[in-house]
Amino acid sequence: MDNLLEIRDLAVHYYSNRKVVEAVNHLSLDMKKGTVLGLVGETGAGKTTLALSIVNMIRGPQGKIVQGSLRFNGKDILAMGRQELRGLRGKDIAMIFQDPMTALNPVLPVGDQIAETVIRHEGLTRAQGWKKAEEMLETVGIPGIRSREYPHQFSGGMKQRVVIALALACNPVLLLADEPTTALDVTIQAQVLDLMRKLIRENGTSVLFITHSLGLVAENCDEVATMYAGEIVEYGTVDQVFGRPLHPYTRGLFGSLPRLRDSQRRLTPIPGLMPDPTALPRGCYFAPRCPDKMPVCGEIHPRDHLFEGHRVKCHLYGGNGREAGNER
Amino acid sequence: MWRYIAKRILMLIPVLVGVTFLVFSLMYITPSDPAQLMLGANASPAAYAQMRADMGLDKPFIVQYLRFLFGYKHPVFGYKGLVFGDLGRSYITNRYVFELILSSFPNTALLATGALILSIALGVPIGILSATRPYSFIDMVFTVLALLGASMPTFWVAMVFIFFFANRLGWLPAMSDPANLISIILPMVTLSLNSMAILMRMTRSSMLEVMEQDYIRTARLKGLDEGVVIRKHALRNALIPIITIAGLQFGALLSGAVLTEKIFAYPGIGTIMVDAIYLKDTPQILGSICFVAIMFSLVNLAVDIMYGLVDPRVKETKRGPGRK
Amino acid sequence: MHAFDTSGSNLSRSLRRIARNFGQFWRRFSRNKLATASLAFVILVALVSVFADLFYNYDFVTANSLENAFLKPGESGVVYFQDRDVEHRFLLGSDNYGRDILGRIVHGARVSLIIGFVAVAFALSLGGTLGAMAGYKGGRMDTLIMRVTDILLSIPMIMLSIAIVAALGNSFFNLLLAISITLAPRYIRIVRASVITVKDQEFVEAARCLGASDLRIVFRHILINITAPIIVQSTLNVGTAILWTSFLSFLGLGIMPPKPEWGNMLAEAREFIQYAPHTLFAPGIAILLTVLAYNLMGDGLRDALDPKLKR
Ligand SMILES: Nc1ncnc2c1ncn2[C@@H]1O[C@H](COP(=O)(O)OP(=O)(O)O)[C@@H](O)[C@H]1O
Ligand SMILES: [Mg+2]
Repeated sequence: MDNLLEIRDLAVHYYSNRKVVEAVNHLSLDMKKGTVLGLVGETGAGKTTLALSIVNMIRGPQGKIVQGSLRFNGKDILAMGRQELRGLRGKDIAMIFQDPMTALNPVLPVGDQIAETVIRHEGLTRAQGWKKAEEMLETVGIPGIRSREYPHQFSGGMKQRVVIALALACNPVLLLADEPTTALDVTIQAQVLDLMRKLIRENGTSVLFITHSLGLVAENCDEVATMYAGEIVEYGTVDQVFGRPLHPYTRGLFGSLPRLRDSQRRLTPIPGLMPDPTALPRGCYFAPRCPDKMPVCGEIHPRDHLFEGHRVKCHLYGGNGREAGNER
Repeated sequence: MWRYIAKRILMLIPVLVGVTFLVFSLMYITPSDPAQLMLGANASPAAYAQMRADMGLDKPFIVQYLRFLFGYKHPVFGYKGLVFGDLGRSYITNRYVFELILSSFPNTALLATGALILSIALGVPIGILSATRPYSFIDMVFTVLALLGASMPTFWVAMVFIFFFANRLGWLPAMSDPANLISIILPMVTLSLNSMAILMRMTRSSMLEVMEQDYIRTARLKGLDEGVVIRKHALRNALIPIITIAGLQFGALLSGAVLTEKIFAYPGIGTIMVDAIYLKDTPQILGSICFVAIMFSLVNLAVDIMYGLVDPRVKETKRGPGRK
Repeated sequence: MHAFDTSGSNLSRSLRRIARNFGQFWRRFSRNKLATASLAFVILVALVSVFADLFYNYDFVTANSLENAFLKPGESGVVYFQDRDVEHRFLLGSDNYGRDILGRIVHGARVSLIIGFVAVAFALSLGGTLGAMAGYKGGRMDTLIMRVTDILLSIPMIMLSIAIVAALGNSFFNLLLAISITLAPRYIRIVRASVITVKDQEFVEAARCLGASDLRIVFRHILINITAPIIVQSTLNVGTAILWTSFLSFLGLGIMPPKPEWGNMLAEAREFIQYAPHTLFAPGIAILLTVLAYNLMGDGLRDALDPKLKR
């Protein structure tokens, strides 16, 4: 198996005000080398938490990975020492955040922020680092001379380009892109996405592409996973999921797909709200909102069912498919 | 940048005029009568009127204020005016007030600078330490100490220190004198406690706030060492408000020094001022308060300009006077 | 859509809302142990100062009794008071005039609290009015008021108080005035900023279009907006005012002996540090604890009233 990333039975909790937020629950997910995996789900589904877990960046005392394992290229990330983790972050796994406005340090020139990464990971000298930073800026369409400028001197779209340059500076194997275009204007979104697509193709980078927009998934991804209340409820290739969505939640997402491909719009399609992550229901988490709810849904938490690699966590398929648990 | 500095200096002028005007007005309405102070209680009405005329006290308020700024020609009571560095003479000692102030200000500045250095040297590192281990035992200890430090009446602490370190233990002298550096330790420490506490708290909360920012997460995600993240990424940002606060503390320390000096019998501008208040020596009160206020404004201006140098975002944007 | 609440009047509804908000506020505030303890201490000091006469007769704590000078804490002495000799135990000892230190601290608390509260109330009404005028009228009025504020803030605060008392002469009223004027700029800034933000908001425009009296609307929203910062600032300011009062009195520019006041007690104690240190500690600790309590309470209030700031 040439899985780049294997997440098994991951659970992440946040502790705030004496309550436990169960942000990620018993989540398993694999990523093959060179694929672009789209991760869709409402705000609060735990997408960012999942991405941060992958680089072991859930920080105490509020947050904690309470269970599960994360393997990257066969190595257990959760067992890595601090030094090894730091060697991994920014080098093998890079991350792009939703908001370019706050992702860059306001008091350091953008060139410095790129340079220090390459200096850290590639053992370059200062001068070489800056040169590399300028090259990276050029790659994302920003004149190299602007490397001495500070973040506030760039527009939002330009900042996100800088962030992309920063993330790709060390040729990462895996890129975690957390809603990289949500904060941008629609016109700029397209430009930034084109740029990302180009760079990713050139380098063969694998991408976990977190987004609200099914349209963007269709355009950019090979595979797609739907996340709900900290779980992956459906997973498959783009053809499988778009061709025949199995989970009622995914179907709800398609039903609410905006007519015009308006990727700005948030996904709040299905009536009702996500369950409170501090008090998840006993049965299926989606049951309270589910149009196809059965009596069993309120009682028993569904298992994964597999149909030729297309995975769904729903009681509707209890009789038909093979249970994923048996296969493991 | 230069335009920004020039603009800030220009903006200071009306404020300084206002300050002198305010202090002058306060002294003008004061019930004490300088002419009587000069002559004693038994002077004849004619001599009294003559004295008032000589001192220029019979003129309207605004004329007197302009004279205070630009000078007053008189063989005995004349002076060149504040603008030309002459504040007239003391009614009591007949010494030139400006000279007196100039000769004692370095002492006050020494005290305030020493206290500032001390409070930064201890307050900022402790604040950083607390911020990197929030809610730990050590953080709690310093939190309580800082709260105490910020609530302590300085003049009382001064006396308690004198009692313990001078009277009981005999380690340090109770009287302080700039010529003997050992003797400045007590007033300096006393003076620094308050600012140290404030700097400690501010550094802690500023650091904590910065550590929550996305760009710190970015820095960690780049695989930088935690030390680099704290020093290069967090501290640089956290220090921006700290510089402002430290600068404002210098202003506060200047005025604090003024209040601490008297207790340690330290010959600074505060002792001059307090003595003058007791003796109702108007030119000396007026001079010393105006002088400290002007220094205070200049320090705040310097802080503002420094802020502009450290924070690339400020540059041309206009900021209000530095205090909240 | 238009479901009218028939169960109660407007008044009882808003009372219920206030009660609910207060409940929420109290849950957050009481989580902070230090702040709760401070609140208890503040209430204790307030009670002591209100009922000071029940503990110690005012004439008793201001009358000299030289033969009892410098008694140590806990010692007893015979005091000639109201035409007869009374045996009296000096719990915290006596000062240079043989007056009971604890009694003077108790009565001093009353002076401090009165000045603290009145000065803050005065500063609030002065600063609030000026700030509202500056923010609401804008233009020249705003410029003028803010210039004056800048000037006031350009003089170190405690020195401004000193200058005012020195100029006006020391009296209870002048002390109040000096402290109020010095504290006022803080309120001017808070209120002005809030008025300006509220004034430009859409709902105010909307309310105007609907013909509501705009002043009333603006006033209501400003009140809602500034209550929290004003409460916090005022709590902290009471502490500051108490501190300044003691300091000015210490310098001989505030409350003069034989009236009991913590600062003037310290001024007298200063002469005798070596001989009778107990005269030095008690009043200082009284100031320290009281000011500390107001500061802690202010911090607690800030956290409880403004959940965004909770750390
Ligand atoms: N630092 C935190 N402390 C407490 N709760 C958190 C924290 N970060 C995220 N959460 C909670 O965890 C859940 C998942 O959040 P997140 O991963 O940000 O979701 P998404 O990225 O899908 O919007 C949400 O309920 C959120 O409120
Ligand atoms: Mg997110």
